[in-house]
Amino acid sequence: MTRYDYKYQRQKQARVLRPQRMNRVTRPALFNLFLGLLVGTGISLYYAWEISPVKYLDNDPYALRADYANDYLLLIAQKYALEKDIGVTRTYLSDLGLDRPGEFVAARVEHMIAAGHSTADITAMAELAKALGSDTPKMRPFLS
Amino acid sequence: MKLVRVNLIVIGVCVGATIGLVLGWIVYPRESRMATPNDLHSDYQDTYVVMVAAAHSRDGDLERARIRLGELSMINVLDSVTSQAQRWAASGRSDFDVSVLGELALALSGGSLEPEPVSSAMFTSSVVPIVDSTITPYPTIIVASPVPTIALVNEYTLLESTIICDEQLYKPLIKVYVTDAVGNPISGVQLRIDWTTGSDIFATGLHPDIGPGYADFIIDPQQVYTLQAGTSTSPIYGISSESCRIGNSAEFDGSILIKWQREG
Repeated sequence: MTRYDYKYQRQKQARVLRPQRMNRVTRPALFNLFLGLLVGTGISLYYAWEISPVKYLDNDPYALRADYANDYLLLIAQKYALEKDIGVTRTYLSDLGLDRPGEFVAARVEHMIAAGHSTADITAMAELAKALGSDTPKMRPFLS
Repeated sequence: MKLVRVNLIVIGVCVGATIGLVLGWIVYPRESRMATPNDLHSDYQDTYVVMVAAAHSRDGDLERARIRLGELSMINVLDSVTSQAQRWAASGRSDFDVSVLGELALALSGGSLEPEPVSSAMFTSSVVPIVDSTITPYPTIIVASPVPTIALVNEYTLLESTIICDEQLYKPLIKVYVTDAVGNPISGVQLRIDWTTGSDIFATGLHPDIGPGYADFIIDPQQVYTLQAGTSTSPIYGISSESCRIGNSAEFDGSILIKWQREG
């Protein structure tokens, strides 16, 4: 064994070095960790936002989904058309959190006209818009 | 080495999922405007029902009202609406709201929203028996005694105030019928009742099975009551149950029937 045995030395070094190399975080390991984080976050965000979003209880009308909010607004208009109490109506509208209720209702009336809603509903909404100080040419035919 | 890579992916997914749930549910929850009427606070649900009742009163579309109320997941829609009408009448809410709730309850019960012409049958409740000549209620009539000191404009005229003897009623009642000037029953008329230890408010139209102009109130035979229809009508003082006897039966507490008619 006078000759330097390269083969033996390489094996010996490999046995010694392997544990050291395992402790080192390699680039592929980092990539895998990052990939896992990305996938986990993406899946859980999809679950939390789309499949099982946070469900709030005891909501204000402000939190109503758009279609229900539109129907709520129509209900307010229908009640106003019968009761003619603008004070009560303004209270209901404030629950919907509208910044400019008059303009909003007027815009909604125009949308309802374009969408072909029933004349009775449009008339109620137009009367409400007018009572709130908004009057557009399109809604005038529905106002008496 | 391969095992370590797989474990790192799993660890990454687990940590990422936790981070994602925290972000998605707590830090950045989805926009809250996703509520349905059933998710509203109970006060707003009551308001919603009143608005549905008003809309129904305006367009007469009962099916639409049913669909709208169906969003509230009520177990029994008629009971819920009737109960709310009673609560709102008792808490002194506006006559308009109580009236439209009464109309909706009537419509849901299958009654017609159109006022029916008054007739003798209108005042004959199924629970009032035919009393024969052997009945001996005493005294027989409660006399209305208007307040002499306060000048009230009588919105309602007292037509009748009598004792009715009905063994089938397990408790004595004050039964009230209110009609308009031409005799059509009126729902939503507020009735205030006072007695020595308390007072209450009830309204017509909350028993659609009997009639839109009908209301009743259970009374204590030991108490003396004062009843007023609306706010500007002279109250009826000294209302109390009287003992009744039919034939040779034992004495029982009689009920009181009161009929009002709106003037003009």
